[in-house]
Amino acid sequence: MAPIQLSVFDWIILLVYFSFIVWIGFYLKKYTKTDDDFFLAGRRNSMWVCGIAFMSANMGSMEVFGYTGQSVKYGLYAAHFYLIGAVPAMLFLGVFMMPFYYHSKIKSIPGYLKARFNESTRVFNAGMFVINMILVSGISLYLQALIFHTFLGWNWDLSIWLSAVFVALYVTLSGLLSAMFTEILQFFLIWAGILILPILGLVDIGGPAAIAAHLSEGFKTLWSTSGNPANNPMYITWGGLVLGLGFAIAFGYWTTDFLIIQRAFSAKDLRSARMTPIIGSYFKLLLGTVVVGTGMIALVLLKDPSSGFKLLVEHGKVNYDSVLPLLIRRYFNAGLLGVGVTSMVAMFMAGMAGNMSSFNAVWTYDIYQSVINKNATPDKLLKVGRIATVAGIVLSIAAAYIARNMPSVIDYLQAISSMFLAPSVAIILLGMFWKFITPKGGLWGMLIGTVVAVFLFVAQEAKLIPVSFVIPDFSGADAQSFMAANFWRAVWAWLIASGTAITVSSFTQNKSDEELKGYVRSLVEKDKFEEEKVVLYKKPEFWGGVTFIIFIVINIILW
Amino acid sequence: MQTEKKMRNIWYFVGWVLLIIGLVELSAGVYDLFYPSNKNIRLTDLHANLWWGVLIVIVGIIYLLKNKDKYIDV
Repeated sequence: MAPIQLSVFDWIILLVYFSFIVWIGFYLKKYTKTDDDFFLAGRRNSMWVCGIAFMSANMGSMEVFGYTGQSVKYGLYAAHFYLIGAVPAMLFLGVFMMPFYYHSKIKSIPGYLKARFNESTRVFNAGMFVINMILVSGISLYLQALIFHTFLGWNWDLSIWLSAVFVALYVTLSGLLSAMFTEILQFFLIWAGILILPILGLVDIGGPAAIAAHLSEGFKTLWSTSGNPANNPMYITWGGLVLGLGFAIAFGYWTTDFLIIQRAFSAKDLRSARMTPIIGSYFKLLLGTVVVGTGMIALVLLKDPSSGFKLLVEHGKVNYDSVLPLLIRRYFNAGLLGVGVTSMVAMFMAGMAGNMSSFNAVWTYDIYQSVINKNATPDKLLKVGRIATVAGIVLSIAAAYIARNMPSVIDYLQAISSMFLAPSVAIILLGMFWKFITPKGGLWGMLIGTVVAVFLFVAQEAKLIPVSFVIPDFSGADAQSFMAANFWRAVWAWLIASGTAITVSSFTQNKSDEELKGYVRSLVEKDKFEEEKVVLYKKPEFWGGVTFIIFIVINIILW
Repeated sequence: MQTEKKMRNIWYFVGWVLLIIGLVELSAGVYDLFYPSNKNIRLTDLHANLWWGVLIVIVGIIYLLKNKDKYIDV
């Protein structure tokens, strides 16, 4: 494939972007004096800053490229990742969970686990998290180099090192503060690059009516074909979607993944922290419309041989991640192409900066200060955070090169690295809402849940058990549906983690009510959670309710 | 001296970057009107780079003007 040629206008746009993100790192350095400034951006951010940074951390390349591709593969079923796979969990975080997180003044999710359970639970969760961040960041770097090499003809090593060095520079200088500043800028640039794509695509295919005309019911509805897995492209039933995606996976990601929640912790007050995921939910719905809409436009183009649109095929395998760059190549002329490429670079860098700013916080507070140096001074922590950022990026580069040499390992790493989220949310929710769960119950629940999830996945990939092994008979899902297996595996991990935690808790010593105060719902001093009195339309519950109504209406219209 | 301790808010910078990038894109759109290029691109007759550039410039100016005097106490 001949690489896309960038004009001088496109190069200027890229240069403006790179110059700005380096400059902002230096500009913010003078305002980053304490460890709180570095790891939590000084806890002085408004709800809009936090909400947009929260969403931007979720708009990494793997999400945007990946789900555009998934929309070609699964049609409107991919929208479930933006609807039931996001909105309810985001609202639950904002309305019910954030007061616990915010008021306990914890600096990370493992920090909450330490306060609610014990040090071992914290270290286990932190260890899984830092490994996950390195793997995700490394794979993201590899995919970036792959896309830029394939479409722009850029040198492999240059693509990897350039992004890594830029992210290292601005995150090391000012930590979360510069990560969030650049994420907000990247948020606007990503929209500038992708919002126009479905507009041009719709003009090209002849409007929304063409989607309805070209696609079968399974590809253009959300639920109507979910009663029988044979009738929908994801081969899944509504039970798998609701329990697996909507509960185990979505709650795991949106309510316990520190990468995104860290942005809410930097809010100036509780109301802003609670509004963070709620503001994010509106953008999530918009992003879903753009990403899934773009994917479905690509699907229509693929069904029409006269369109000349074809996906990239590598080693006999269709590369669905190529949809977005191929559409950019199809529609974007000079100037617009610069914005489109900058938007792709921004996605990669926003994702990586998010990985690194959460990695350095968890490493510093939950591993270094917790295990290695309990008496570290704030200055020392700040220094360790900066060193951890550089070390994290070096490890990500190493992971990127490993992925380059063994591309098939990516699917496994992505799946395994996300498997600790379902057991994590099981334990955090149980611990937050039920004081019966003991420290040992929490630790063993998380440990056994994670081990079982990883074992089931590895056994499936090694063909020791069939794909259908984890899919309950009553769900009737197709035995060969890997997506159904992913969803149901998360449900099992959640159930096993919960069951283990409850069993172990019934015969182990619990903490006293005094120690649990503020970390369990029944032991919260009511006045502690009270927010400033505001009018109805400023309340998180009001805006959460509006999102929920929109969510219901979309599901009904596209039923 | 007073502004040394005060930090510009992020929206001000967003305004600048959108304005600059929008202007470059708009320039590319104007250049394309006189010297049309790249025949392989679809829908070039819509001149998307021109009107999308104008839109980005407008958004940039709005952010810039609304936030030019705003600082954050640190």
